[in-house]
Amino acid sequence: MKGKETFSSRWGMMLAMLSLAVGTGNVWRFPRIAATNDGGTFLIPWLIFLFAWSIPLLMIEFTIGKSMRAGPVDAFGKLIGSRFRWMGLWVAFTATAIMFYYSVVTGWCLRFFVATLTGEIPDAVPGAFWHGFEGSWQVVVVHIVMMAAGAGLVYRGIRGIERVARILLPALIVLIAVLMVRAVTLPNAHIGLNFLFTVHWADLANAEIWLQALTQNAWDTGAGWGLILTYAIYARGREDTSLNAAMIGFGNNSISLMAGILVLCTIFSIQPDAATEIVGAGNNGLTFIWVPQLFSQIPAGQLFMAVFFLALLFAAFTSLVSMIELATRVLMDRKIPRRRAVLIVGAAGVIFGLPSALSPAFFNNQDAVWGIGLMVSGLLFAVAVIKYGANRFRDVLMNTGDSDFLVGRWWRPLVFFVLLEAVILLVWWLSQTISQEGWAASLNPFADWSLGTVLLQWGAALAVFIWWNRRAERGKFAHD
Amino acid sequence: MTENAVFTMVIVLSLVWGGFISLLGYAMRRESRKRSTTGSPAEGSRSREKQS
Repeated sequence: MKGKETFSSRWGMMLAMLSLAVGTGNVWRFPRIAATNDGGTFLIPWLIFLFAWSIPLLMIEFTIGKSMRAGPVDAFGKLIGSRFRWMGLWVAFTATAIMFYYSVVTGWCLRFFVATLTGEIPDAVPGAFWHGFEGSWQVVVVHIVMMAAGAGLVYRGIRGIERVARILLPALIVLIAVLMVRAVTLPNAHIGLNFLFTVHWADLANAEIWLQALTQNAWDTGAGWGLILTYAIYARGREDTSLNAAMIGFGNNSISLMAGILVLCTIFSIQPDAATEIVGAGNNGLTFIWVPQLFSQIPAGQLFMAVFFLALLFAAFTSLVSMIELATRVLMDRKIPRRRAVLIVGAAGVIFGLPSALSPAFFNNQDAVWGIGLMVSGLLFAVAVIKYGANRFRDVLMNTGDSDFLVGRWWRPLVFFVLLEAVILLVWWLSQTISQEGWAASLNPFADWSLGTVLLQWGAALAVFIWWNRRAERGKFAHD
Repeated sequence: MTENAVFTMVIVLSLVWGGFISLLGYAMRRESRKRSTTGSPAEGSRSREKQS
């Protein structure tokens, strides 16, 4: 099957790629992060990092996937040498570790959509339904349902994924557009618009806003995850890379803006006095506690609440599918047939997702460890291009006769800038954690959340990957 | 809405939404040009491969 599967058309591929990029990060994280970082002021660096982080990494991933025709592990090996496959393994494992708990998130969205239909939410006591549901056996059930649904779709191959994306992505855009129109027509919605679009130029000197804008771009565009690389394997023979990658970045951020308008206009219209408390309640608190309360206070609120959770479910499910496809592709590259590979990934997803389904503390731990691990993945992509030669990468792999536009001399400095951004982000995160928690607490490796637990898990994973790579180099594994 | 907010909203939405629509329009034109000159992009690639 390897090498034979392709998307049916450019537009089928673009819909599949946009559907993987648009996830819960757009709908629940963007509005919250924009609101807690001075609204309009945040949008300036957020726009700059679209060009300085997301689009370059999307271009790198697209080019590597299309040129190497292999999942992250073998693609890194083909690009810069087989002794660097551990870098691809890091990228693949990070996305797979996220898949384990992302299936739980997708399950939450399914349960809340059902709860709007059955009238279980909004609840009399705000948050009562969420607190009764979180960590219960019901989460295990919906986690298994979503993992099975995702694996079932990947089992059908890339054309199956494309067919579903052709329906779900346009449906998602329509649902968010309907909610956005409803939100901006609420009384006093202009307060939300004022908040989202007012720039305080002096606040641009605040480094925290810039770093939050960079992390938001890293998390919500899917750049550096290895997912675009995986879908690009199935691009048709002479497909464009640069323009397609840019379209994914712009399309993804367009949907983030729609979500920002809809959430902030709703909050400032319904509960302007509690806006700070609402956006400070975290992703789960905003979505699963406050959204039902907010929608219950507008006419036909139950209908709009159902539309919101259906949109969230579509966004989460299509992203989950891409993570399952990535893990499946890595196994397929090891000569395992797609159908058997999907069964292995599906079973692993169910088993390793169970701790996150049952324990909110474990979920938060994994979210932190592997969410931040994405920064390292982005850094590894930039390192790989620099090692290959940024100009050579551009001339040989990007600017082929199939390109819709040619990448210029700006490419090399931009790749170095991406590397610099990743290093700054990681150093900033380390210093923030140590200054907030202190050395002793931050280095405790067994805390629910600490620098120590992150470094322990990263270190263990890296040690295994490098050991595997060395063994594979010596020909210890039959398939290598 | 304040003037500051209206100005930023127009700039940001023009850049992001307008940018996406412009790129999409450009890609559609390029794609239709490829189709009209080669029949289909896939056929085009085969013929170019033969020429090379």
